[in-house]
Amino acid sequence: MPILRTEGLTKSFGGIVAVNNVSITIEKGEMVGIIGPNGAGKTTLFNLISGMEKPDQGRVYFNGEDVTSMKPYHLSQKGLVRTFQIVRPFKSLTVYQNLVAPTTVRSAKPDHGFIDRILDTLGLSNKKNLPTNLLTHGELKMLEVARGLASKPILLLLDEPFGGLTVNEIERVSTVLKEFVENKGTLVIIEHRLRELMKVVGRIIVMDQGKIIFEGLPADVPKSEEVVKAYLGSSKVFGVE
Amino acid sequence: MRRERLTLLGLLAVFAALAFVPTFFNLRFIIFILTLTNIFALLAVSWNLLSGYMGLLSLGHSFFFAGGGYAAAIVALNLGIPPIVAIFVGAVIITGLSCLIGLPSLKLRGHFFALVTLVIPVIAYQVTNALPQLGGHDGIFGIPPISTDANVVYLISLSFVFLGVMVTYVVVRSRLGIIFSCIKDDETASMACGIDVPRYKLYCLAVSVFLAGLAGGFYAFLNGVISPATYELEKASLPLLMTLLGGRSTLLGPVVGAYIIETIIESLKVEILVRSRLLIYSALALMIFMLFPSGIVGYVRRRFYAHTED
Repeated sequence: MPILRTEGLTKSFGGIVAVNNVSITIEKGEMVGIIGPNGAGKTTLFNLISGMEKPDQGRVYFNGEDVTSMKPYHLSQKGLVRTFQIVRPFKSLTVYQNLVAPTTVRSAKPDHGFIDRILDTLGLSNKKNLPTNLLTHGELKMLEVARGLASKPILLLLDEPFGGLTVNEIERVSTVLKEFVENKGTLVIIEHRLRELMKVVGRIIVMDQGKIIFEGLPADVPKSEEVVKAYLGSSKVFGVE
Repeated sequence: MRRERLTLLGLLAVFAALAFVPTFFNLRFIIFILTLTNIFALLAVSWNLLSGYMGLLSLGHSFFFAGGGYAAAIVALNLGIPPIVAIFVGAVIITGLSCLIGLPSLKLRGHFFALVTLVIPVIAYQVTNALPQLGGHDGIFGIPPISTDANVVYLISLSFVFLGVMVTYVVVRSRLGIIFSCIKDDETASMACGIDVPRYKLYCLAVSVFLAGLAGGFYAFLNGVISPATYELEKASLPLLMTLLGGRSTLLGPVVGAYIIETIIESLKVEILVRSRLLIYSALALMIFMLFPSGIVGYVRRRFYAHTED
């Protein structure tokens, strides 16, 4: 049984169809990348799956259960967690409290060893008791990923986790993400940093103008004519001449 | 742990001093003023919980205050139950009513919630004015006093404030404290973290209204009368001003602010100043925003704890 399945998801804003009849299937333990030009509907797709927005048409199944239009906090409690492209830290809490919060709100005991390990891998250990306004942009981006992981989700949707990070920081984020998948987690990543993305994911979905135009192995992406056309006819972006 | 114990000891010391010093000197006028101050301190504590800790700006606390007063007065006069019980029953009634009204408005974000709370006391004023069953324009008279001994009344009012501060302490230190902070910081991120935002907003509203209702009930019994004038804007702006001056999102901030502002009001009882009081409040609010954005308690806390803050 797939962990996530969408059936003909459609969402329009005024005259613009942001997500157009999108059906995807994500299997347990997969690491899937979603790419596409700006405005392709990637973030809207995440909003529909995570309950932040209601689809005009179509259904979302999580773990076999129909969760269409379910409230985002109920989905999060079920283990479908998402992060945001623009960081949203809790400003009045410290870095560590930011990671403990998603667990304590479920009235569960936070796994301090687990949280410490995440912070350690990301290189944030020495900042764990600082308020979040003392963090750099890259560190805030990593905190966003860490907060997603901290509640031990079943499926994690990451919205551009590498944006604005240094090569070194991307390396660290990739490490925690690989660990997450090794521990039976499932990942879907929206990303523009294609070279870095291709290194971690096993499958790529390409979206353009609200539709899926390609689905397959990372190596096959540059071979697709449609994808190349969507990216202004340049296959260089994929690191293949 | 050490800091928590210090906070608790400090709280007890402040309240013990407040309990002993005025009653020892036994000055009737001052005791009455201090009782009134305690009522407003409780109202400010209630405002601080909703608007300080959870960040839902309420401009209509006069509705919860006056509503609690009306409910307590009606219950006491019709059922003949003792004043203290009537105050608690009145607070429960206004909490239920406010939650019903609040349920749809809690879905609103930011300033829209503030606007709704601004309008509700205005509507309540008109409704109360028009209903003879609620005493109409003259209000409800002949509410019996809690006790004939002013010292006893003062001590009860002080214990109400203590109750309010302790409720805040327990709530803020619990799981709810973190949840309220999260909602204040970012509602969308809170939802993504699994927080049922509307539900916790309702919880916070209920506790806040209950405390405001207690204050209002006490106010009605202290004055022996409750009239639609209690819905006025001043009763809504005072707790706001007191909390901002004392320090929002701090335990004792609202109490400190209430004592300072009540002292200023009572010592400047000159006709022209009383008439222009709303102007003075606004000027004071501006000054606080510019000089003490985190309030007096917030300022002192930063000074003292700067080096121990983790």
